Amino acid sequence: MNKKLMSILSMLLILSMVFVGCAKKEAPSTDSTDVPKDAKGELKVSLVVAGGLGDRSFYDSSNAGLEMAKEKLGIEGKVLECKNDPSLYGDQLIQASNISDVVVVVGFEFYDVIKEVAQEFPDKKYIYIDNTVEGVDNITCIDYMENEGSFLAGALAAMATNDTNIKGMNEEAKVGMVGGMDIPVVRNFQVGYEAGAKYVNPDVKVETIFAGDFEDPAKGKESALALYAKGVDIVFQVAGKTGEGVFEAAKDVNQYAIGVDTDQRFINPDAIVASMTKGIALSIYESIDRIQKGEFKSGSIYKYGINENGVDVAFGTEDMKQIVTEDMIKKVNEIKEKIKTGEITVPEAK
Amino acid sequence: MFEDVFNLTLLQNTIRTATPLVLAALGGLLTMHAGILNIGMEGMILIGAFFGVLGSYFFSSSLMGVLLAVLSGTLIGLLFGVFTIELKSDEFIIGIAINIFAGGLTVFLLRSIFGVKGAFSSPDIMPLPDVHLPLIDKIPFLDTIFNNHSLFVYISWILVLVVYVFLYKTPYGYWLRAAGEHPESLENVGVSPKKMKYLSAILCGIFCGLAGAHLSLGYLTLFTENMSAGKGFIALAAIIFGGSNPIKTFGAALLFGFFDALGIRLQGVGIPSQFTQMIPYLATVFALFVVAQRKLKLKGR
Repeated sequence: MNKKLMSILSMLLILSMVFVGCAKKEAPSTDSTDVPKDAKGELKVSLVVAGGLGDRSFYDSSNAGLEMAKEKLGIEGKVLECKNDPSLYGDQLIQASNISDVVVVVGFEFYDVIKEVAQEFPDKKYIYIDNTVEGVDNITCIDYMENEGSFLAGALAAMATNDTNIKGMNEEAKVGMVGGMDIPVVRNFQVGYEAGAKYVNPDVKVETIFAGDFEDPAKGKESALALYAKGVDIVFQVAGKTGEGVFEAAKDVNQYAIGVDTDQRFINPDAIVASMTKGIALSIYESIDRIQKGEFKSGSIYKYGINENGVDVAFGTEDMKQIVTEDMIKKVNEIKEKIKTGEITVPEAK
Repeated sequence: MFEDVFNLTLLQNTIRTATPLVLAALGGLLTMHAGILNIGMEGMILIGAFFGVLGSYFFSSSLMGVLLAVLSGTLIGLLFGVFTIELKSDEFIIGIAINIFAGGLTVFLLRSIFGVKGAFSSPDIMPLPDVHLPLIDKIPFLDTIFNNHSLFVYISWILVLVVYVFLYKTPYGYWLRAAGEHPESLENVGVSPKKMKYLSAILCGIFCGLAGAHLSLGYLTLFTENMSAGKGFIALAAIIFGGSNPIKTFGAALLFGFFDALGIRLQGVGIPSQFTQMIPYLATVFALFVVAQRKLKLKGR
């Protein structure tokens, strides 16, 4: 008797679970038409990242932009991580679309799904970071001109590699780069880096290795060591967590590295001479600000180059000992001005 | 161009890349002999890597890091054993569970203990020392290839021999293999196959812990999420390729390390990365094909 009761109860429990599951699935189609705003009428923003926070680089700076907007603009913000699992890209986007008015999508990986999802939720605004999609009215793209920032990094690397006064620099004019994957964004970094290095010294050799992974520091170290073994003395990393291995390699062989996306000098101020920064935080903050003010142009592409403070080179905080000379920093700033005025045009690969 | 790729440092890189594989594979082949297919090595390495960093950071000693990694390996090996041996759960599912568990646990602990997400590095993490062998530095050829590696590189070579002797020259080794091949006969002579299986699971955890500690304290001096990056699975491939024999498995791990190192270097001479990244996997498929062919031939006779 007791057993029977138990089995009936458990059946009911299972059934209720099934129904709960169904209810959730149906929710999007009904919810999508009206914009969910809470009582205070705060703008709800979701940040969807392809990887995970904590890369001390790309994704973290997007989160910094959201935090800044939360603080200064009084919006409500949420972060959804996909942890590099492609099967989650669609789900997380749909979930974000359900719970918020504006979805900030971070990562080139969303290229396919963002179009589908955005068309399903026509009255939501999508801000797509790091890639461009055209022809969908509610997707606005932020396009960073990595090539311009990398041009500065390349120029700096080429200046530093010839300065044997800096401990550890050899006489060979060789600079290196470790890329995460061979994808358009990373290629854009590479093209700018190479052009920048050649601008300073036409004879400089630029060696690039693609590790094939954004999450494998061991491979990053191996790739960087292969470069250092070839006489390269400064390596620009564009490889996310893989890049942590590049810094390790630089430390081990007492040579140098250039960080990426955020000012990474704090990770190891003795090996990392500078970082090429992307103003991801700034661009996200500005976009949300524009939406609140009603100035936002939906469906367009916002370009963030040197002119818009979208890309730059950072040399760490003041308490860190500079490895590059004052003179080099001055020259980098001169090149920056020249790009602004259009005297130098930086090639691109996107 | 040829010298740029094929030189002595390529062999040096091979040894460096192969060592985490060797250590993990030594553990995995013990469970393999005991009749358990352990696909949870990936997670065990990750946990070892994390606790290695934890111990080294808080006690300012790499030895403590290794001890903690071994301890965590013991526990996770025991956990694996309880589920697969005691509760007779499916070893595949437990393996997958351990991999997912390790990913989640390390992320969680990383956040709650160090307050960071994703990556943790600090000058306070004491790395394992590099070993300089005084005798062979006179010979440039040997010096480049074999000298100045991290401590665990040499330890892994010794362990290959130790495991070989253990498996084929000691009664424990016989019992362990019997537990996998013919548990009934082992029971007949009064040894519990269960105990031997537990032993293999725990040893596997310890070896994977060492592999993890080597990765996070010897090879690198940091921890990042999912830093094992498939090494547990490649180790498994090495075990299968090497037929669970420690020496042959060591060779297989070196081969995988070689192709990995080769792939990185080939990019330096202008071969596209899409192709070079394919090389380790192509080599694996080819190697497994050769092994299968040979086995078929033997069976045919």
